[in-house]
Amino acid sequence: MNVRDLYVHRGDPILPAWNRLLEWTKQFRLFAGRGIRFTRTPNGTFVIADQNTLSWDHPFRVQVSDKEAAITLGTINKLVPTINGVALDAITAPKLKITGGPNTDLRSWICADVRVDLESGQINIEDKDAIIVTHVRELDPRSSEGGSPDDGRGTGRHPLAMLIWNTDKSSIRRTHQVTHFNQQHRFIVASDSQPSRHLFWPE
Amino acid sequence: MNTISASEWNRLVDELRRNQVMGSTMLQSGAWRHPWEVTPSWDSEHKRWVATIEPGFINGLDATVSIALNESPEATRLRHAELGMEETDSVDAWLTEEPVLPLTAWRAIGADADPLNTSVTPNGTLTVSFEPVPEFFTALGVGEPPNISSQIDDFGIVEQVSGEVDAAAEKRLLRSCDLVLHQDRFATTTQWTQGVGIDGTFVQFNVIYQIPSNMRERAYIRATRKYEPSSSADMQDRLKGDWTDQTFDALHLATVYMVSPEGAAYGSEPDETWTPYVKHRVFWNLNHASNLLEPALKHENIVFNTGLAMGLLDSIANQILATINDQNAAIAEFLGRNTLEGRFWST
Repeated sequence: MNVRDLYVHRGDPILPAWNRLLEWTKQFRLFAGRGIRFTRTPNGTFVIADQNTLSWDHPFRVQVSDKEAAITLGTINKLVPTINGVALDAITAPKLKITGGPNTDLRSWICADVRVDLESGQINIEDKDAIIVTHVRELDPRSSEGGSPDDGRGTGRHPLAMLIWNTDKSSIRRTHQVTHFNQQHRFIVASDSQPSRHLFWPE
Repeated sequence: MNTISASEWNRLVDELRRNQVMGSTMLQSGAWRHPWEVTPSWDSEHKRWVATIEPGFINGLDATVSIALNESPEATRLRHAELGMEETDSVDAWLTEEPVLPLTAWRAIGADADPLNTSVTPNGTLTVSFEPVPEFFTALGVGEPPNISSQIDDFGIVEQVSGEVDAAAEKRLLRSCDLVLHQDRFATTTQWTQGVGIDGTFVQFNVIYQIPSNMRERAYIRATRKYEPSSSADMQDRLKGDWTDQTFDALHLATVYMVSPEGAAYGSEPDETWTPYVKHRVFWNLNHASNLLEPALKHENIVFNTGLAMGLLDSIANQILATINDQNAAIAEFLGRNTLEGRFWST
């Protein structure tokens, strides 16, 4: 409705205009969406946005507690990664033991390692450990050149989260999520002077 | 019945009264924030606006901001402790170290903005154009830029200024600042060289890959008055030779806007009485890659026999540019294969 339709002129019948006004005022009713609470009073409404309730269990969400990481279900090329041979969607979800500590900058990463057959460039879907979740102290420095460099044996690495450790390296202070979506993967075979690369992008 | 009862009338008033918003509260502890989310705040110690940025990652590494060592977080200072730096030296603070980025480069939009462009029509009218005020801020009471035009006639230059001049004192001012992400990469350079072949003169078109000085491993964020995307050089410029690509890729992350209270003096800088707004343009972590991973200073070239005498390099280049011929196509195809370009994509 155009708000100008609510205007009246001297002599206009009042009831049709009144009904239009009533219809228009319905839009001012407040409805609480997710995470929103109202405190209503006769004189008005207070709105409380409680974002604590807005927990987002996105794919590959990493939650660390006491050197164990829980990773929510995520897929790469529709395949489910494993931890110690147990798929992330198992009834009892596996947890990753965080061993090895951080690098000198007190950082480490939870990653998904994807292994392809070097001849076909494809992930072997029969191999349940073709995609595994790992904890690493360093990323390959060639990662900054783009894509994930192949390790020479057909494995590429995609970071899921960065862990920040306390200065005594005994415990993890904070987790920063890197990946929020299911991923697609493609292996780019080496050509001329260019090394093999693994590319990841959101599904 | 052509009347409205008092009870009907009052019911409407009550309905509207109940639904008017008296106030709102945001409980933010533990709230999820997207990567690159910018939160401006007033730094009362240094009397300036600053921004904190939720860590965003490129290829698994968090980006950096450049700040003075004496304003950097403890973790940044520890990382630079053994480098013997002065307190005022700039250091790259990682976003996961929780630095605050000073916002000092503001551009004015609206009533007191600098002109963006001028144009002259065939009848001699000079028109000055300004960056438009986003509709959102117009609704908040930000004044529009003046409408200025000048007419050159028998009496000389007559300037016309129109707009809500009288209402200007009641309008609010607008400032903005762009946050831009940069990722260093190799650059390509083109050049022509010439020499004498067995059967005559040949020219050689070279593409050279250069590593930028102080190439950073991590992406870095800079606050700038206005982000201007670099226009990609057209093929002709590259073919002319002596052309150098930029040594980084840039991505506009966000724009921080500041809105003044009513009656702020023209040209004033944002202080604690101004209200910040942020327009985000990137919401997810990113990957970055170049189309080629060439070693620095590697050369690729293509050679043409011309049969022309030496010293005619410009003529040769111009001839290639002027005509569509096999050599032109060969160079263009060669250039396409050997030009470095970078891309960001979300992960």
